[in-house]
Amino acid sequence: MSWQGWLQDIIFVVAVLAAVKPLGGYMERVFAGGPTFFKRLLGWFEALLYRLSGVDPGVEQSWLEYAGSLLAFNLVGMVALYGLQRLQGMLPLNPQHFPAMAADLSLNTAVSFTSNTSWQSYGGETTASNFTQMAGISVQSFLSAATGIVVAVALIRGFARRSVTEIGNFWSDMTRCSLYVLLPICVAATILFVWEGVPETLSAFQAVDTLEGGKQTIAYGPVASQEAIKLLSSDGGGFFNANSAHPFENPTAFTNLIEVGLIFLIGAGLTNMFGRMTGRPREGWALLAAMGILFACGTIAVSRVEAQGNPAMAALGVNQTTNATQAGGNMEGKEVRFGIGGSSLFATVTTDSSSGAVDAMHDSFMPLSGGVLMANMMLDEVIVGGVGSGLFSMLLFAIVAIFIAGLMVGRTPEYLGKKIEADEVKMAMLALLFVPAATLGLTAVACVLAPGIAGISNAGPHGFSEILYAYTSAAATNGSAFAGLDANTPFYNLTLSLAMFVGRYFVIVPVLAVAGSLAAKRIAPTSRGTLPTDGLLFIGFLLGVIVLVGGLTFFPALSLGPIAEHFLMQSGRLY
Amino acid sequence: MFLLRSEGDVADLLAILLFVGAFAVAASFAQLCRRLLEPPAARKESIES
Repeated sequence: MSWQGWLQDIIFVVAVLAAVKPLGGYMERVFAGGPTFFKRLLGWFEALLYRLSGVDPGVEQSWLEYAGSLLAFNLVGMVALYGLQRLQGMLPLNPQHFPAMAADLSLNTAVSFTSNTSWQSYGGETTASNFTQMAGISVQSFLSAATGIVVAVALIRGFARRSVTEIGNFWSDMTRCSLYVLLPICVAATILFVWEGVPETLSAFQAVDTLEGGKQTIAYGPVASQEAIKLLSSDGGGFFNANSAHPFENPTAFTNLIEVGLIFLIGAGLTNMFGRMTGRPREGWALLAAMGILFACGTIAVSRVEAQGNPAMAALGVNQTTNATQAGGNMEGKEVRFGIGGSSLFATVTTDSSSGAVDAMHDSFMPLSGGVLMANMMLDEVIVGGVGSGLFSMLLFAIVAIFIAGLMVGRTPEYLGKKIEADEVKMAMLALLFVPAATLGLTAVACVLAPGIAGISNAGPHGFSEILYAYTSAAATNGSAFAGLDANTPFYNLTLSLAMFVGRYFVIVPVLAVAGSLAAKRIAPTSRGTLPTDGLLFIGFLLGVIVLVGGLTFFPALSLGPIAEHFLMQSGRLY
Repeated sequence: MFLLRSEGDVADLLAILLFVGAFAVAASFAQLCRRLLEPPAARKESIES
């Protein structure tokens, strides 16, 4: 890869790290109900919302009440988004006169955006009206992101509090997160995108005469505002089918860098908020360090593999070297303006997080790179991860790691002064096992049933990878697609919806249960026998547990897909 | 069933039932988690009552 590509990676890491402390401190103040600039500006609106909805922000909830509120709120959001899609033909802001979306597609899209997955079995510019995009999809991007963040906040409170049953108020957490965290950053990002050339309009599509004398329809709409929340929320659902590979979503190398930065921004900041809320800032940095090591491994691997190019092309005498006139490497499926560096960084970041936005087609990456992208998602979104979900998944692994460490030395395991007992480990393992169960179970079903096999475009291991990637992406609430899979069929729409639902809500519920269980415990003082959890030893141990528990579960499946394809490619067989 | 005038209406009804059913299962799962977290004595009392 060119030096500019590596420089871009370094700038990205430095920019994200620079934002971690200020954002973490700001979010801590927001969720504590403390004074902030935006609270002074929008506090009246927050109070109005409470008055209209009859919510008393001072009344806190037990974990079960918190979970009940969350599930009820998400149910209403899902039904509302489904209704918008089915009724869009009769609703305003539909200049292209799109009819109602099909029932199975609407169901899939409703589950997808409410669960912060943003799997898209449709092309936005050919299917969804501006109203559906704005009032349905973008609104759910906000709310699903806020849902993930408040679950992480509730879990942190579980660690920080002692001998109480309450973990916060779901309604006030959601309101503060949406108004004071997501909205201000999105407004700033939207203005930046518009400045860089991303459209923001409610006009009908433009019909133009091409230089060849033909007619072409240029699609656009309220893209910039959707782009901002799409990335910030780690939701990733694009206005256009090509997502961030489309020049109206991601016009320049600069916007490409801003986009990857937005994807990681909140997830990285939450680790700092975790350290502050628990009164142990080093613990937050330790978690971020573990995430950073996994991120670096993935980015370097994908960048190197893509830069080396395709050996089958080399055998034909094709020049794949990087030089002044060409990007070099494996440029299939990549935008020339982003090259290997911008595409590899984006692909790694989007699969590390639960974003799912893409600026290159993952189906066209080299087999090993495709395997790394899948492995990123299979690790359960712990590499910064989705907003909120990354942190709470990492904390689940920390609980399991500390439990195993405790068993090894024969002491009752403690994390942040809380004794980790059977209850927490049971809940953590439930949450961690539902995702692989949904992924592998549904992949197996799709591989043996005719409607599942009918969707793939390639034979052999690559076809298997298309199916495996789809269910991995859905259950990890990522939403990116491998391409090559015709997923807009009743079979895939329904089974992927099931994977998304399980991957979201059957993880959130045990996480909240852990929060409630921890909040009720005392905080034990640190003693000589306490295992330090902010040092290199624990970071290494945590990484080992993530790879063993999270990664090896999927190793046989990866062997059948990208790993087999890699070795077959070396022997000259392509799929 | 006079409101269900077309295949689309039936599909909409099924979709909404699916949403409600799925969240009902998730809520039941939350209750199951609560029971798993209860101290054994409380669980025994609850079963006896």
